[in-house]
Amino acid sequence: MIPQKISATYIPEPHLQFYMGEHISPRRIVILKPFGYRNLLHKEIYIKLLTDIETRELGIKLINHLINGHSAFSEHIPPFYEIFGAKLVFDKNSDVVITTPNELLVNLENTFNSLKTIPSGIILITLKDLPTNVYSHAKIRTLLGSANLKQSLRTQFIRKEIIEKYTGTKGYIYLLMNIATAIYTKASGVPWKLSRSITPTKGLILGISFSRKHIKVSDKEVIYYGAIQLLDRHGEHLYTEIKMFTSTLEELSTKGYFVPYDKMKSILSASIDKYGKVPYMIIHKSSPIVDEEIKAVQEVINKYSNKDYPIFYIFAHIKSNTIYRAYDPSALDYSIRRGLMLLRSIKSNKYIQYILFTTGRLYKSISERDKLGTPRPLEVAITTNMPDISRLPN
Amino acid sequence: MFGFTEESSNENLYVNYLSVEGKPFVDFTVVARPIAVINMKQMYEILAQLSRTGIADAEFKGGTIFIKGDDSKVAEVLDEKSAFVGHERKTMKLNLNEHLNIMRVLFYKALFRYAERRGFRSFWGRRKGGWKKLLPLNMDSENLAKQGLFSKIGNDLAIYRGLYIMLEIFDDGDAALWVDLYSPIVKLSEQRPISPKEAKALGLKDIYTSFIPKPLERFKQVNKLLNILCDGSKLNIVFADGQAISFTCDFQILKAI
Repeated sequence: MIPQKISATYIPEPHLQFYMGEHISPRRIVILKPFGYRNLLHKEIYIKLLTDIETRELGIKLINHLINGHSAFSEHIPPFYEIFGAKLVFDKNSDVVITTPNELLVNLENTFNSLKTIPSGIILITLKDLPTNVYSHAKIRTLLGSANLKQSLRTQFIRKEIIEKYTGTKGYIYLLMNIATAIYTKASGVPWKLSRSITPTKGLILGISFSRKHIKVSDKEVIYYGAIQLLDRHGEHLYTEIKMFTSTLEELSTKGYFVPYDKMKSILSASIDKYGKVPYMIIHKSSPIVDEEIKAVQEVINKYSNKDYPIFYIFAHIKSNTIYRAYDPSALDYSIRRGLMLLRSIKSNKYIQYILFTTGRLYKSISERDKLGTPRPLEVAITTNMPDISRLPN
Repeated sequence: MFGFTEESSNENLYVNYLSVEGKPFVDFTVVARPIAVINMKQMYEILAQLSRTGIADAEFKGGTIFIKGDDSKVAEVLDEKSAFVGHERKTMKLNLNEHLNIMRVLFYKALFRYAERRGFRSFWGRRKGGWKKLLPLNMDSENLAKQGLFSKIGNDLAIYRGLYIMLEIFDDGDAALWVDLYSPIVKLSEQRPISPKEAKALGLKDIYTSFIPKPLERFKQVNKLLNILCDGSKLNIVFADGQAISFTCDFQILKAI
């Protein structure tokens, strides 16, 4: 038999650990309670609503549904307090700030200042038109202040169009569920953790993503920003920081967004120095890996690694815009089941590549996937010093 | 609400690539000649024309032009206008480590010539090594509409179903041709796909969204387009020097384990 160039296998998804047990579905949080249930038990989370006049009523209604619970089309979300153990505090007479896209930034900062004396507060922003500059500003402010909850701007943006689209459908309950979980998380709650470690032993996961735009500072030089995020082996957040990088336009056009050699070395060394030497490091970035990054990673790993305490690394680029598709004729709509992985038996690239479907039908039911479009997988390209991963399957 | 059932594994799946026959890229020969380029843009236009007419598929890298086809004609036509091609010529087997991109480009040129003869218009895209696009712009739109491959959405606008194509060459010379559905909005008077930015500015987001196919529909539409593109059960791509590369015209079936 001629061996296939590509083989297919299913990767079991890790279960989620809640307060009272574990389950594969995040929605089970309603019954099993969030992982950090006791940490925010009976605590108050203050909500401020920043809204335009057109979206005001929808925004208030949505917050009331979060506080009191809501039912639609046989789906139900219990009151926030019942699920999370923390209480949402909101008064529609004093906690609503009317704004416009032009005034949003100023109103956002003022509202943020009014929440500074409160232990835990979230600003909910419901608008018809969401200015992207304000959205980016809020995200960067959140990241910059993430080390200190009181100094960190905690926001939840919802466009009017989204609320309207789901109102009167069972999707509205899922929207409420997602917003409720986001609010709980932004108030420093931990909704769930992975029930098993991502790495086979003690390890750290370092993620690097870049802002989409670079800024030209001279004819040749540009600056761009990257967010560096460190997670532990259960996927729990350790820290996030924003780094500024400089490069020439020419370099950027050939390499794409990259971390220059010296910066990559200092980022990696700093994480090991701060959180200790671990036997396993995963580094992943949103743009393709370049040679100088690999050199920096290898040098840092070699510096900290020795015969008695080897450190293994996986350096990965995760590509989302891929051409790959798969179809399952056993499903009514041919949709693929989530967790499918395609592997090449022979390399076609200097990296080892995995095609991984992270969206698709859940579990093994053959019913139709009630979503628009066709699942598109991620492609993970890795370089590693782990001998058992370096070999490809036959 | 949260219930789900576990079934047995070992599922047969379709994966969207066409398998090549043999290992054609192990023995991939070209004629290589030295070249000094005078006008790069003009040279590429001439090379595209030479490929379209089936005289030669050629690509330039460094100081060398790699040709599959009539290299004398290439030298003659380029010498007149845009580059000096040296007299020294050698037939060489391309190396997968060194010439992977040359092989890909030569393949796409031959594929485009083939596809254009079957009613498709080809688009290179921004990146040479990236995906290519084929749209059935030279076919009867009424006939395409009957097959669900063409839908008019305005006086001068229509959604065409076409193909994304990507050749993957493995280290052992084997290959796979990945194909997926390409569904742009086309400005009919200019016979060109409009960009997503243009579509958004024209307020076409919602109508475009309504044409995003679910998996079964996508599967059927890609297979309809493959039926138009292929010759029976094969896709035979012939280079200008006569070498042919043949693909099976069905998606591969894999057993998931």
